[in-house]
Amino acid sequence: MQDIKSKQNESNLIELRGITYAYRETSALDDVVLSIAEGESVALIGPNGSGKSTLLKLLNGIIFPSAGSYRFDGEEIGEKRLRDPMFAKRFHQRVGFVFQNPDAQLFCANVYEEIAFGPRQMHLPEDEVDRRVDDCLELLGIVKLRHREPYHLSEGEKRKVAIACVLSLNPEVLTLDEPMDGLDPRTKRFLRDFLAEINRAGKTVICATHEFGYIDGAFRRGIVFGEDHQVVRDGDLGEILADGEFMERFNLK
Amino acid sequence: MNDWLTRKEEYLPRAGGLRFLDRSLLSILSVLSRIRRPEKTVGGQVYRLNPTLKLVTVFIVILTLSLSRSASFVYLADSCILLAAALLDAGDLLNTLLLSTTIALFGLLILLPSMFTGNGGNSLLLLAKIAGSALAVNFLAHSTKWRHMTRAIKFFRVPDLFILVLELAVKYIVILGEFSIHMLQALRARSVGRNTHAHRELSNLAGILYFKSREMAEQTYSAMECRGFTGEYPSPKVRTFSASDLVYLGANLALAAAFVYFSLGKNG
Repeated sequence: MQDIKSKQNESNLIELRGITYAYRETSALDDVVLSIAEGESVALIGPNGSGKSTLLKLLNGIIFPSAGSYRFDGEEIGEKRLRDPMFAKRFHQRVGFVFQNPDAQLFCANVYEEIAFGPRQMHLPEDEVDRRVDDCLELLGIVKLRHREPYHLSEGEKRKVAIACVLSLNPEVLTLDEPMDGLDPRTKRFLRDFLAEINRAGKTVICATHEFGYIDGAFRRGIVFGEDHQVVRDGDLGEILADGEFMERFNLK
Repeated sequence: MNDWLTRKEEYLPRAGGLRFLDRSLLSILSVLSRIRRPEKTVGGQVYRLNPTLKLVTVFIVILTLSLSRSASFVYLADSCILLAAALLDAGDLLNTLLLSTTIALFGLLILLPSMFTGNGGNSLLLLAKIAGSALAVNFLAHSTKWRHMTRAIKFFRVPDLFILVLELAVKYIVILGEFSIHMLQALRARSVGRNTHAHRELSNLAGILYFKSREMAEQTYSAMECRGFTGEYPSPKVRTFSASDLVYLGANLALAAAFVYFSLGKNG
């Protein structure tokens, strides 16, 4: 816990102050205050509809809060700021988002094109693009899918491709929305180990998940959302998962 | 871990906007928001009127507007429709007036040559009919939920199966619309540079949407089969009339009587 707090004070990459998000009289986030330092690995946990996905979309500048402020690397992130295309592009390169539904993310003719999409937009030389695609395919264990059409892949394969196509941008922050949803146990373990490895490489990883059996060891910090869309606990993930009474009270177990 | 993943990207984006994506997102969102209007439990009485009654009366009003040759009746009908529209909530009223005005202006554009060649009176009458009809349709669209509308057409002896298909179509427009929004958001989140093939990406998204809709249609059909669907679809019964329904019906009957009166006056 002390380790986490001291890391937070060092350099907060993400700062949320009083964040509230409501849509058509329905509240999705209520007065959320939290800071995430560079290099942290954070699991967002909470029951369905508690605001985890909403928070991730907010962190990625897809939606904007009704109240409060969001600062990324000292820069205020809002609708007006992201209207600047140069800033928006740089921001989206630095913060990558893996959507909950991989079908929404995959649209290129084959897996290679899908992963190459981001680096090509960054105008990297083609040999560098090729290298990144090969590295991502190998990291995610999907080399054999190189020429396959994304839409006809299995759920687990799609998830890996979706992660690869965001990873090829080399973001500083990797945000994932329920990446283990609907996957078999072996793939879940693979993703757990992969996320831990990515975090050790220096990336900040923020992941919304229900898979408590597969996240221990991959994330050090847990932020728990309650059914009232507020943060009810923020601390060591191991301690949170071990607190059975707390987990039951907040509909996590 | 590969070396490029362990170091920060020194990346400076090039010029080139994201407006194409933003415009696409906005247009889908605006269409969806119209279909997914929240159920109005508070607000004017017009939202609680019997949907079948509204559909039938709007149909009759449009018919009488089209058939009438009396300027007095047309302007009277337009005034009554405007009065009914004034009972809508502010947002819906604004949308109704904007859409109707746009349609009327388009009609004016088409009728301008006729006006300049000496057919001013008839052209104005036609314009009033266009405006009135557009206003009536928009009044109906903004005061009635889609699912009520699809059931209201049963009055016209439309087969139940057609109503089922229509309801499923509206529902899946919303579902696929939301899926499109997620796809566009994902594309926007990965738009980190100058994308000279934005149009190609959008056509790829359209292709994915087609696959998705086909897959969902197959799954829906299988689910219906598993629940014993044999092709019959009993629609729920239409609601009984309330006091406001009777007032609304009375007003429409009065307008119909006015049509007959002015028609007789014109002929006689």
